[in-house]
Amino acid sequence: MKTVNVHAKVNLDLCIGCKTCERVCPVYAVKVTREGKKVNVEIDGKICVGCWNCEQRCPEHAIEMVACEPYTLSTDVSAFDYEEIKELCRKARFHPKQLVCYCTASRAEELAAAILAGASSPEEVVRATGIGAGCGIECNQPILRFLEAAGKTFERRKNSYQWYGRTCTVWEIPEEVRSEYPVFRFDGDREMFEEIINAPVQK
Amino acid sequence: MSKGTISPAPPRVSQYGVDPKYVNMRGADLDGMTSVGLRELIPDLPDVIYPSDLGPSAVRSATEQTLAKVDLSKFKPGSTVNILASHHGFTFLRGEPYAEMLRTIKDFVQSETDVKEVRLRAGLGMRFRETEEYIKSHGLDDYFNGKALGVAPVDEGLPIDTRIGTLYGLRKMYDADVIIHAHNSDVREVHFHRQVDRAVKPFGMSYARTETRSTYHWNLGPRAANFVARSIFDSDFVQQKYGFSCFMIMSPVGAITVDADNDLYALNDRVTVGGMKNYGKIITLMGAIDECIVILALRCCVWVKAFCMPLSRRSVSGMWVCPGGTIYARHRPFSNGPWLVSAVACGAL
Repeated sequence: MKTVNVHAKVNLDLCIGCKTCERVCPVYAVKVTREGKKVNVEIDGKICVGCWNCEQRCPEHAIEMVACEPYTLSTDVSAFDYEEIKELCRKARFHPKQLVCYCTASRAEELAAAILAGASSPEEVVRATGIGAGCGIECNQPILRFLEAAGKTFERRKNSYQWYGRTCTVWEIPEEVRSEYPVFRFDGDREMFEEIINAPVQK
Repeated sequence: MSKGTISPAPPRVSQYGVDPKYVNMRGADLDGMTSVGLRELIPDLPDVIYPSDLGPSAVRSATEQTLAKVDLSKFKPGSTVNILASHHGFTFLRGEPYAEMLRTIKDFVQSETDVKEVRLRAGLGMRFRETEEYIKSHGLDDYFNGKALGVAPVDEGLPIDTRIGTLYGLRKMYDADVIIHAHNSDVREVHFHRQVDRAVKPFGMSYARTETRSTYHWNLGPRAANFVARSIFDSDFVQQKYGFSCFMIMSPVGAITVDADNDLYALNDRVTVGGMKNYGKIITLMGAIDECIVILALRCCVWVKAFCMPLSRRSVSGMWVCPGGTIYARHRPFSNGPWLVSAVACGAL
C-alpha cells in the first residue's frame, strides 16, 4: 500500500524535450511531444504514482513534485479466495506473507490479489498496489515473477527504460554453474527458499 | 580513553539531508558523551595513509605506485575509457581520498597511454542524484572536462549475456572501449555478501540496472546472490572492455593504501583477507555489546525503512561510526531473528 501525496509537474521553460522523464516513468504517465521547436509534456495525474523518478533524473531539473490530494494505491486481499492467493504465491515461489516491497511494506499476498483483480502488466501492478513506486529498485523481480506465474505476458514499451525482463532465479541456475562454484551454495539457498515458501501461513 | 568527544565532520549540504543551517546540536554535544578511539580498543589496527599530515597527496602517491605495475596494453591509441566508480567511496572521510584516487587514475592513464578520452561514470543507490552532488562538491566535473556522470539504476539498460541468462547493466557505464573498476574495500553489508566476491559486487549493483539489483535481493538467496556480479564480470561483453581494477583499501581507522591489479580475482582475495583481518575484531566486539542507545538523526535510513521498524534499543545492540560518516549497527530486523551487522546509513549525514 502506498499513499500518494505528490505529483510531478514540469517547468516547460527549462524542459529540453529529451524524454528522460517519459522513459524512467514506471507507469507510463508522461508523454513528451514536439511540434517544431515547441516541446509539450503531459503528465497524467490520474496515473502518476509519485515515485520521483522523473524529478530525480531530469537533466535540466525541470520537474518538481507538488502536493496533491492524497490517495491510496492498494488491493484488498480479503476480497479474494485465500486459497487462490496462496496458489499464485507458490507458483511465483513466494510465501504469501513474505515482504516483496520494503518501501510500501507490501506482502506477496497483495501482489497476488492485484493480479487476481485483473492487473496484467507491471505498470498495472504498480498502480494497483504501490509496489514499485518507492525506491524503484528492490521489488522489480517479484512483480515480473508474479505476472509470469499468472501467465500474463506483456510487451515492453519501445524506448522505455523500464521493465527490461525477468531474470534468473535460484531454481534455474545451470547444473554446471552449481557444481563449478560450490562456494555460492546454490543448493543451500534453494532449500532455504523452499522452506520459506512451504511454511504454514499464520493468521 | 578521551574525556571529551571527537568533533564529527560538518554536516554536508545535500538535497537528501538536513540543511546544515538547521543542525544546531550534534550527538557529540550531549552531556556526558565520551569518544573512544578505535586504536585504544584494538591496538593492532594498521597504519593509515589518510587521514594523515600529507593529506590527499598520500593517496595520489599510493595510487601512482600501484598503477605502475598494471598492464595497460588494452588501452589502445584513440580509445575511450570509462572509470567506473560508486557513491560508497565518497562516503569515506568526506570523500576526498576516493576523489583523489579517481583523479590520479585519470592522470595516470592519460600520461601513460594515447587514449582519446577518460570519463567518470559513478553509480549510485536509492538517492538518484547523490553521486552528482559528490561529483560537483569534489570538482570532478571540471577535472573530467564535463565528462563525469552519475548513473542511476533506472537509467537506460543494456542486456548482458551471462552464464545464468540475460542480466542488465547500465548503458552509460559501458559506453567506452575500456572500463576501469575503481572501488573500495570497506566490508559494508557483510551480512549480505559475506565477503564472497566483495570486490566484484559493483558489477551486479552500482553498474547494474534495477532488474539485476532485484535479482540479487530476491531471486537467488544470501549466498547464491553473490554470483550475479561474478556472472556479469565474467561475461564476454565485460571481459572485452575490462582494463584493470583499482581499490582504496579501507580499515576502521582510515585508508591503508591503494591496490590495483589487472586480475580482479587476485585483488578480491587480498580484499577478503584484509576485510577479515581489519574489521573482524570491531564486528566481534560489537557483537558483545548487549545494550546501547543509538542516536540517529536522518531523513533517510534504508534499514529503518526496509524493515518497517524503528532502530530502537530492542533492535540495535551496537553501533559504530566509521571516519567519514558510515554508520554500522549490530541490529536485529526481526524479533527473535539473527543479529546482523550492516551499514545503516551513510552519505548525507
